[in-house]
Amino acid sequence: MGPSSEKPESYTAELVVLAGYILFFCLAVILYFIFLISFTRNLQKSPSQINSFATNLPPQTPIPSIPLNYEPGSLPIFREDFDNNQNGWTGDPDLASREFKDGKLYIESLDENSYALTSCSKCPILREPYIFTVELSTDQLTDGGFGVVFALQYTRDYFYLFRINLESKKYFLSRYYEDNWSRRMTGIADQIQPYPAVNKLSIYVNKSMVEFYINGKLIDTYQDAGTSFQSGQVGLYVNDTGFRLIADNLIIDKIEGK
Amino acid sequence: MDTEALKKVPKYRWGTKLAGWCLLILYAGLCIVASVLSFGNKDNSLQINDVSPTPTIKSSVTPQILVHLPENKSLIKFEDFSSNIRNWSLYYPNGKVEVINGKMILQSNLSNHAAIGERHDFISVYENYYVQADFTTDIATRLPYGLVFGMNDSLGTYYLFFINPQTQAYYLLKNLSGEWNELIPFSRGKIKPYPEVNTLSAYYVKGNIELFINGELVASYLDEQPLQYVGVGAYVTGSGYRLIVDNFFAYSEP
Repeated sequence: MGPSSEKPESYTAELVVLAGYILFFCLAVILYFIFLISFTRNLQKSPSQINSFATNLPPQTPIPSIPLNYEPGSLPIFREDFDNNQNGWTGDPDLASREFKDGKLYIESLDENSYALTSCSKCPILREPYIFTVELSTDQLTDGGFGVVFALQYTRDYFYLFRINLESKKYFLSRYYEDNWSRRMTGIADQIQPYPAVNKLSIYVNKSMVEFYINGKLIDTYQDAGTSFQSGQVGLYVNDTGFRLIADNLIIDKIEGK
Repeated sequence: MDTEALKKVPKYRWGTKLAGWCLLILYAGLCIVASVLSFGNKDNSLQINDVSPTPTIKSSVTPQILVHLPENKSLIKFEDFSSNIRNWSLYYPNGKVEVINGKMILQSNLSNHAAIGERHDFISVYENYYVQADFTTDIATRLPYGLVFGMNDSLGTYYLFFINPQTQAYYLLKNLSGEWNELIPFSRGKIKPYPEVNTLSAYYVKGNIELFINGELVASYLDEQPLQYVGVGAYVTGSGYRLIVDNFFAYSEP
């Protein structure tokens, strides 16, 4: 028995194990890709879990409806520069005083338990979408509120009020109807400038939707199904005594928006 | 010589055997991972199938009172939110209550600041009353929301039937002008997950309060010092989501 007659070493077992490892590697890769594909598919499917009604809601971050190139006074329905009382500004004389001075209207509430509201007899009764802008300031530092009213219907004792407070930088939307107030919206807007700055308030009204602008910046929107905000007159509002509201450059423009 | 040759070529090698065992363990691990993943996928696909056909608000075709229907049906007040002529208002600052496309939309615009959309005169003041409404949200939220009843907005007192669809929990609170009392603590209940609608009801008889979720009684509580008012509404805990309320039913009877 010489060395040449010895049986060669067999590596069958090693080859089987090696093949097993290669197969294992391939299966692991396949499994990984299957997992990856199914995970991606689930990710794509998960957005379907939304409330479809919610997609019809207005966006949380409001988008202005008025055209970017809109210039106040470009499509005028009414303009008031407060040189004098040619448009017949009026209100309850027991509750409010009015004075025209230096091309501005000064309004003061006379009763601390009530509000002062003023509107003009020549102010148009609005029926179409419009944007209403007015510059408001106060004659002294105050934490009292003031603002603009719209959808004003004297015969029904009814209006909506958009009010701001310079101290708290808060804004409010309320509805008034037959001695009853209903608050609909409140919030904080950094765009409200403190005393003695002039704040330019604008409201864009289109059927049952209103957009509120302060110093040119859209701060909030409001919708109320079944309510036509564009029907009625506009006016000015003082909530408290102890200061005078100064109004200037009141403009109402016809504007369709988006 | 023969004995030596046998020693040189053993029948199996320890290294190969060890590698083989390792391979078997790896295959076993692979099988376990594969079965776990396929089970998870099956679960997911079932969930998706559950949701995807109608991933929207499911509301009954004819909204109706689910429990405690009164004998005199003319007592029932129903609000479908086709308009806000009934004057649903905001309670607490920093929020908004709107009526859009036949739903009441309530939101707070400050985190950790609640908002209530309420009506204080929806029903007349009696010792027995029932309130029911459908609730869902515009997005999935971890924040609770709920049904307000027994409210007096001048005093700032009310009951709050809170649910959290994410944690499947409900509780009943009583607010006495800012002081909270937990009448029914955090409890588990069958609450439908987002985006489905949950119908909450409360039946009040002289301080005895029964709470229902989707028509099923989940809890009852006897309040020894009950709130005697009948204002109703909806409650959101903070900002980041909008509560969608529909089909508000209520009645009171002597």
